[in-house]
Amino acid sequence: MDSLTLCGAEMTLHQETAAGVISRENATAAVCLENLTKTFGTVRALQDVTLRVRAGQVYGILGPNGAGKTTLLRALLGLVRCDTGTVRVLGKPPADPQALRRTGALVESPAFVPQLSGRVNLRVLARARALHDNEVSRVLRAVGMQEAAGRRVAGYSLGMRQRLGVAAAMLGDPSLLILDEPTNGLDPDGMAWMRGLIRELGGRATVLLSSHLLGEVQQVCDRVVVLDKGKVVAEGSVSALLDRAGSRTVAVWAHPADVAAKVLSTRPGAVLAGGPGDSHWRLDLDRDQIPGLVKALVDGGAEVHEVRRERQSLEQVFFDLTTDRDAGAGR
Amino acid sequence: MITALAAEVLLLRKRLAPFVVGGAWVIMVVGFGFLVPYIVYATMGLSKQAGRAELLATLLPAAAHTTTAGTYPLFGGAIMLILGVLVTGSEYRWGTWTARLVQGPSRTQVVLAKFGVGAVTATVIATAALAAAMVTSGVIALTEQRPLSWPAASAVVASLGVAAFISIAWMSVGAALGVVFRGVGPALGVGLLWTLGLENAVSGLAGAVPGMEPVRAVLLGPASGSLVAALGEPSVGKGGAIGVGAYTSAATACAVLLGYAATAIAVATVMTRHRDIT
Repeated sequence: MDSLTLCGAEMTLHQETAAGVISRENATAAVCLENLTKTFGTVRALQDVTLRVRAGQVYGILGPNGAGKTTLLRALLGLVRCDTGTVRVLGKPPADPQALRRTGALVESPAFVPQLSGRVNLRVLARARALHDNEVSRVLRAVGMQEAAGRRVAGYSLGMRQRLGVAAAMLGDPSLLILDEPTNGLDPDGMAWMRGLIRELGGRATVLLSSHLLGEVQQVCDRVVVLDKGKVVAEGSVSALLDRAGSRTVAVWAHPADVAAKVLSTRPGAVLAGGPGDSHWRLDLDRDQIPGLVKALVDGGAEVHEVRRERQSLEQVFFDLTTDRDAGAGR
Repeated sequence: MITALAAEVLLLRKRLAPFVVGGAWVIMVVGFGFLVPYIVYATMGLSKQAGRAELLATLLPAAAHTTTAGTYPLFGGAIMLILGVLVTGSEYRWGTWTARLVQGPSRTQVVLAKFGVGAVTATVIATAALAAAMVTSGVIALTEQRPLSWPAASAVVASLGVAAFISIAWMSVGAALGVVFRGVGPALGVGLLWTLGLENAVSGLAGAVPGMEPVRAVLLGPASGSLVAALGEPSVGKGGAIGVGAYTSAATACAVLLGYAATAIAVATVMTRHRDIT
């Protein structure tokens, strides 16, 4: 099965994939969503969202503000009820007590009782899960908050609250971790720590990670879904997404520069990537058009030193996918 | 349900609010129920011997339990309403509902645990207030060189039961308001305006307009006052505390208070179950 699904022409493939495979792979899927739609008043927060997260994956949820990421996570936890569609979390409906006990969540900014210490806040949550206070000490150690745990949360920095929120999500060593923007408020050291923690957690649990920091997602996630205006616009493995999205951009190095320029400047969309006199060009080409380009350059008297398909960053892919496609079509 | 209760017990035990509310109420009972009347007694002219003796009788241990119960229909109820608002409304203020509702216990269990632990807290506060009142009345008796004649245990238990029942009903209404208005400020505003403003206005009108009496009978304050009057506490017109009066029978008063508590629990549960937590 193709690991990448893009909306548009390949949307049918995506839907068939989900519909056909969900029932077959339910046993190994940590999260299954089918045709999920949620509206708040007149705003459609989620529209026909279908996706599947296999157990053990670190799964990224990307999208601009208002794309529906947090609503999706809240739907998984049973905090919002969807208008249509089905949700299965660890094989159970959302908000099922058994599933919730095996799920840890940090949704939006971590919220605690400000007058109480970090430790007491966690003890309250641990009581609800029938966990011993030793578990609270364990998660506090895991996030490096043992020393500050006795202080009132009101005095915590944003980064400390974020760590405490992650600690709360880790209570009971859950099989599924839902982390919404876990690096918010963390300094660079904290972000690197969080990356390591997510990788470590990913070794023993399924992690659903929503983030604006695409570099972070690129580094830690196995698969991603890109949401825009409540719809899935792309879903697949990170590498497939990068390969697919970057496949038409080709970098060409040819000499002499003026000869190469004579040939390449006639090609639509070709741009000089370096400065004047440089021999580095970039243009969009399908794979089967590359031999023709090389032949044209050679026939024109140029030496072709290198032709390479460029790999975009996830950030470029993200912007390509989520910039206004209607406006793009009109250009 | 047990885990939800355990979490709620720990939360309320560690929070400052129940101690502040409870402490404030104990001070009010001792202050306005005993110390202020004792100062009035001490400064009354000797020409008003009959009035002085009547007033002192309400401050001695034999009457301490009913005097304490008499403070509930108006001020005690309002204090317990504040407690109820703080039990549920604060979770909205802090944004902690999300974390509370994803730990395993269902929404119904979490809400019922809040009402349950709130009810226990209200009962503990009522017990502390009664104990403080008894001690204060004992000190007054010793000061006035009167015998320490304590009331029968059954009478004390009955008074405590009435105080706790009234407290739980008002606390439940406050907790429901906290859920309905998703916060502390608006819930407190509406709750206090309703109970102290609207209810007193209706009660006042009912004295002049007989057609309003059935309406008064189903209000929280007058029902509480009727229940306290059933203990033998004199009504407000006969030297009793504000809000005390036999507006309705004890059975009807119990039914009204029970109705308020049940409705409050039902409203809070249904709203919490069906609302999106965003």
